[in-house]
Amino acid sequence: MQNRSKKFSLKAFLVGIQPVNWVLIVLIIFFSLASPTFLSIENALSLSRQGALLMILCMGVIVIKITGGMDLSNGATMTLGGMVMAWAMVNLNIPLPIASLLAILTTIFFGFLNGFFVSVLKIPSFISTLGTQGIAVGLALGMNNGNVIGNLPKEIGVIGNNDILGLPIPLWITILAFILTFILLNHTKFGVYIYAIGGNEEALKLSGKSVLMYKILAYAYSGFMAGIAALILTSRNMAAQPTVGLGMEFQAFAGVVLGGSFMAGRGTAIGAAIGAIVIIVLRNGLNLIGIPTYLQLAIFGSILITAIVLSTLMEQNAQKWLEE
Amino acid sequence: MPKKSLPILEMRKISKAFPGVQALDNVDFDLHPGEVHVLIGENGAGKSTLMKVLAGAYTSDQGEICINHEHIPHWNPGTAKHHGISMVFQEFTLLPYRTVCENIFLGRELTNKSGFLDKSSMYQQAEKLLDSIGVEVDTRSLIINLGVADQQMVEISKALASEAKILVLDEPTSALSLREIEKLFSIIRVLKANGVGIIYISHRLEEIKQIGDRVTVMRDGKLIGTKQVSETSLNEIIGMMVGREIKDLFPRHYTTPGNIALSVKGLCSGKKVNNIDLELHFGEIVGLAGLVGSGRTETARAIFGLDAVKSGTIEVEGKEYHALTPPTAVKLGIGFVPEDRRRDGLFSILSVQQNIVMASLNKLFPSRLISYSKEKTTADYYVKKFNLQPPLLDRMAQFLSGGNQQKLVLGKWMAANPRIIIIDEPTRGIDVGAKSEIHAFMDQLVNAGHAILMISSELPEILGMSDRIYVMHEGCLAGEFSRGANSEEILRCAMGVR
Amino acid sequence: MKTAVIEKTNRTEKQTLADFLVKFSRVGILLLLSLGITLLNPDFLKISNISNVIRTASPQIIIAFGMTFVMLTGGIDLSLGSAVTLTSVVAGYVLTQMDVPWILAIFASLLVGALSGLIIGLLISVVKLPPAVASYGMLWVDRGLAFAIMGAKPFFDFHEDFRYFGRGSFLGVPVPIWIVALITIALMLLLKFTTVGRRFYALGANSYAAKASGLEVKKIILQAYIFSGVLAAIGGLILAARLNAVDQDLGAPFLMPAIASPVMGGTSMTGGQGGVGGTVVGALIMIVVTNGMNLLGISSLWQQFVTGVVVILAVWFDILMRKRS
Repeated sequence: MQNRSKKFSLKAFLVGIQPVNWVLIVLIIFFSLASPTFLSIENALSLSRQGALLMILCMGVIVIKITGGMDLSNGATMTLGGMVMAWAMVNLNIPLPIASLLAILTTIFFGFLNGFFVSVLKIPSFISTLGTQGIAVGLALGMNNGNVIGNLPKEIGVIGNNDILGLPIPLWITILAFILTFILLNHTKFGVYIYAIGGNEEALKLSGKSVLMYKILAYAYSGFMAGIAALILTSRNMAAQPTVGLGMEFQAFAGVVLGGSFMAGRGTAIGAAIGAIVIIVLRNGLNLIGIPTYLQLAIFGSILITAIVLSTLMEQNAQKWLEE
Repeated sequence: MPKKSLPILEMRKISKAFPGVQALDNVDFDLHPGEVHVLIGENGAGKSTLMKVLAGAYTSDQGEICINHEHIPHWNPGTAKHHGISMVFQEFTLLPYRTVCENIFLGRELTNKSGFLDKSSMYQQAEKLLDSIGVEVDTRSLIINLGVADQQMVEISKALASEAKILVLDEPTSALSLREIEKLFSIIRVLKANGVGIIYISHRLEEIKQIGDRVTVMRDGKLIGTKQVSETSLNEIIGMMVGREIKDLFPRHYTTPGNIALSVKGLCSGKKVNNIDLELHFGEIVGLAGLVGSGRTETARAIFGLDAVKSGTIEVEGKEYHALTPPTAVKLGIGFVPEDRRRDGLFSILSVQQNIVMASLNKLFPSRLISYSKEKTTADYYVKKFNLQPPLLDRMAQFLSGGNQQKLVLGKWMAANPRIIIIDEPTRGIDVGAKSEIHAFMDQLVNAGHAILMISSELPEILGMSDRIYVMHEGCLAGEFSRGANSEEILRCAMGVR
Repeated sequence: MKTAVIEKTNRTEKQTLADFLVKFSRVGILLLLSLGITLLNPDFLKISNISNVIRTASPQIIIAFGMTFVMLTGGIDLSLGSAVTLTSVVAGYVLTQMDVPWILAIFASLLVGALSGLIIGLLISVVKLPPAVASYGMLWVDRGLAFAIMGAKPFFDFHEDFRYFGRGSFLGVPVPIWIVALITIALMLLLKFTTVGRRFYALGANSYAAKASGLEVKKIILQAYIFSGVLAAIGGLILAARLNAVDQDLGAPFLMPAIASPVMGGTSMTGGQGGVGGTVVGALIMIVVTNGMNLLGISSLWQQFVTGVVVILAVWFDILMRKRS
């Protein structure tokens, strides 16, 4: 019997529409008109190199955001990962692959730490990750007395600066990170439980699965992504700077939120990716039309708040609307 | 429903006590496969406690549970689930932004050989499951897009998917329309044919006759009786619920009511307050009776301004308002003793003294400066007046017993000097001593000229304390009674029987 | 399905004794730490050091007061660091880029702080955003505005009279310490002796009961966040006066100590408990630890690390303790 009552609801459709797609299109049109160099292949490729970091961080953050948490530490852990890697290579002569592994282990460790604080100690995520952010910053600064670690062996530059099949390696890595996250969220039990934690933690508990474990894994995954970003970062700079990544956590947060993950249990890998692209395009576009960096921050902050307010109001009114 | 089959569930001599309350007293309850066993009783009768014991959430003090005639020791939530017991409450355990299929399979997802989700199989099975019981919901719909009735179907399907043999439905029809109730019943009939045993908790007498095979009445934690639905009448059931007319001594001294204190016309708020008209005079206690979920608390909250008012008017001592806000209501002299005293009435981590002055800060301290001596004197006065035990002003409110907590909330409101007081369940969960103290106090109040709107689910209290009684049923006013009414009349009205 | 209201009886009086011990232990920790550091470096206990330390730390204490107010209502203000930056940048702008009496810089700064707090308060009370999200967004808005106003060059070289607030002394005691003392007393009085203060506790203790008791919840939220914005501004002013300059990230290091100080001082993040007095002790503990680290030659670069650890420990401890009651 295939006569299912497919309840098509105009209301539900409107509620589900992703404004971020429209925003992206508008931005692209605006900047193409405003700047001749915007809509060019070189620009796009250059963007994909610069924007890889943000996109990869967003892939980590979206998983946490779906469970209802925030990650304020990934910028700092990324930085720390780079420092650890560079330090190991310069001072201990550790070969690149192992150093890279160290970087990722460092960031994953912080991820687990976050997960532990949030899940087991029940410290709210914004405090937990704020705290680990401080710890990571402190370590990054303290490691080399606040100095940059340079003089890295040449091989390190490969990942960040070379191309494969005509596309920058960072872009390939970004695509892989996206695919991995997409598959995790949509085609594995892990993804189901992540959404469940955000949607109705009690329901998941009742079904017998360990909410604790999956929450911790979510934070660890974000740590893993920060580690990958650390590799690309250090490679592109050919050096490790103790302050370079600080502040990226906000852009990652903004990207994920813009991409549609306002409430716990909502959000998608695709949405987060598009949100990240919006931020990248915005950054690039503002640069191209000559808006100074310090103004850009104010703009980002205001856009983010406006987006959150609007979406929250939409949600509240949509709920009321749906209930009537 | 073959009477000869073994019961799949037997609960024998179940007793459960909490401090001050014997929630269950030697209760027997059993269930046959393929039967709908209705469990009925007033609020506080013990139905929910019994079900919690069945779910393994509570451990009984005495008694045993048997599945298929086999005694199961160490009954806990795991064993309950293992033996196929599934509860469907009014708060659903669904994920709002996931599909029906995803919800049904939560925790039991199917994977293919590589470890990835096997979505097509899950959707197939989900569709088959829904088909088999006649549920017509698209497995790809998001839960949030479904109406309550369909959500309930999904919740039931979820229970069945985990091979439930015993289904507990708690007030399943309270949010459903007639058509949806019909659909629910047809699904229940399919479940019966498949041998599932259903425990059906409800107040609705009409439904007992429609869907029930047996009915068990509980009262005050005791089993009153179990009957075949075909062999009993609604009157007999009501009689069992109410018991003999208990001549509780309520300390009322009736006087002639004065002017109109509060007049509500056509009040509509949310889903549970539809066109309510109420009148309250000074010098009288008006009782608002009805079953749980009939909208009485929602009406009170709407009057006081805690919930939004859609339409209607509220007249306070002659002045008309479309809606009030709590600050305005307090200024107008209205006090509100809430049903959920822990959540809405008390500040648990603040002291008795601080709690008492909380609704009258501006009144007591017009200069906005707090005088501790005045605060202490005020608190002292009310602690003595209400005989708060222990009479320690700086004790944190959370450490008081239930009865004293209620008295504290009353004290808080009395300190604000309201002329009109709305009290929602004045003596719920309170020991006998405190109960009579509170009743005596309410009597004093109205004799001094105040007006009280009292919501209560305890019929003796309604009958013993009220000058007049309104009865609500499913969000509407079902009847008005004067002092001389009896329990059965009120209960029939509350249940929608005329 | 309503559950019967089952009553708990007979909580022991041991609870209040435990509370007292805990309060006492905070001061005890402070004294112990001070003692420990003095043993390692006697310079710590010199009057000049103590006076210097507290003067330097005055902004931190005042900013922590702002966070205290907000925490009492059960919220959080993550924008405090940026609010400090923004308000001091505004002051710097007025002092160096505008030809007006220097006192206007103070008013402008306080006003901007109040506005920032007002916006957060509105986001929370009207739009119903969670405080963490609302204030995190404002963190970046304030930060961005500060950058925008300041441009590339920091403002510096302020009017002499203005600098008095940071560098001057009155009756031998540095002015910032006077300011902290006055503000501490004023806020203590506010919280303990006014209805305005009492309502903060009520909202934090139980927002539902607060609403149902007729308290104007929106107003209370706005007040709390406006207070925190204004206090951030005061902190920033003292800082600017002392440093004689403002730069882009002046306030950023203040956020975490501002969270840790009230929590260590007994103000619960869940709201309804704590106060300004405790925050002073909590702030002093953090300051002593920092100063101690300086005196012991530990690089300031590690201090962020320590602060991060302290914040987490403090909050965790707070959560543990609340769970027990």
